Amino acid sequence: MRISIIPVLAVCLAAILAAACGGKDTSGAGVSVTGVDVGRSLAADKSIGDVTDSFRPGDTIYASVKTEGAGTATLTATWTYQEGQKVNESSQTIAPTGPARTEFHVSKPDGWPAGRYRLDVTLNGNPGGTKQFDVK
Amino acid sequence: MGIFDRKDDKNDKSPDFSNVRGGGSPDFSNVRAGGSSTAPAANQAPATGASRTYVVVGGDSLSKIAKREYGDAQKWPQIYEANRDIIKDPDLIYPGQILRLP
Repeated sequence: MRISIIPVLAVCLAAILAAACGGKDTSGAGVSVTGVDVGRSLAADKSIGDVTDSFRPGDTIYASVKTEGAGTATLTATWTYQEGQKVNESSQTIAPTGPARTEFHVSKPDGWPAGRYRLDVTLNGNPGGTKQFDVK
Repeated sequence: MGIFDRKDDKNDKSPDFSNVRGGGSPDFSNVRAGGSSTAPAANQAPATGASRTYVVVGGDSLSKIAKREYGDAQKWPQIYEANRDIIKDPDLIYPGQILRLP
């Protein structure tokens, strides 16, 4: 009995198209996070001037997120304290055309409480990088 | 003194807890945050090179200018922030100064 290959090909093609057009937001598909640093100062190119994981209560804490690729992407920096108490969350939507650096910074007028902090960076809601640091 | 006599109170002191401070989660409501990028912001309006300006005349104040330009005198800080390089003291502006109007 001959089996017609046309219906088989049609099914395979449909499966491929369904996988490719899954409805995901691909606007940032070309952008990826390649590095996250934290430190006390920012250089002119928005990289961290002095990378450190130990800060003083009066410091402004800078985070530099390096990205590669082109497209539109939303970077979100979420800062938490100790067991997950949220300190701050902010986002920037960028449209890079190549390698880029995006900085976030936080400061506290009455000084940071001593303890362990964590920075989580996401790109379009997906994990991009994490850094832990202490305030002493 | 008999054994059932009341003891002198000053020799029977309870601990003093009046100076106990309650603990809790730190307050992060006053955290200031900011950021910038080497990449252009998405949906950023293209720079046209044109901006509104105002030439200060005698009798002006930032609040008067805000009232005249925005209809709200309380918006004077926006004018001040846009001209920090020109205005050192928000209470002192001078005739002839050219202020940027945000």
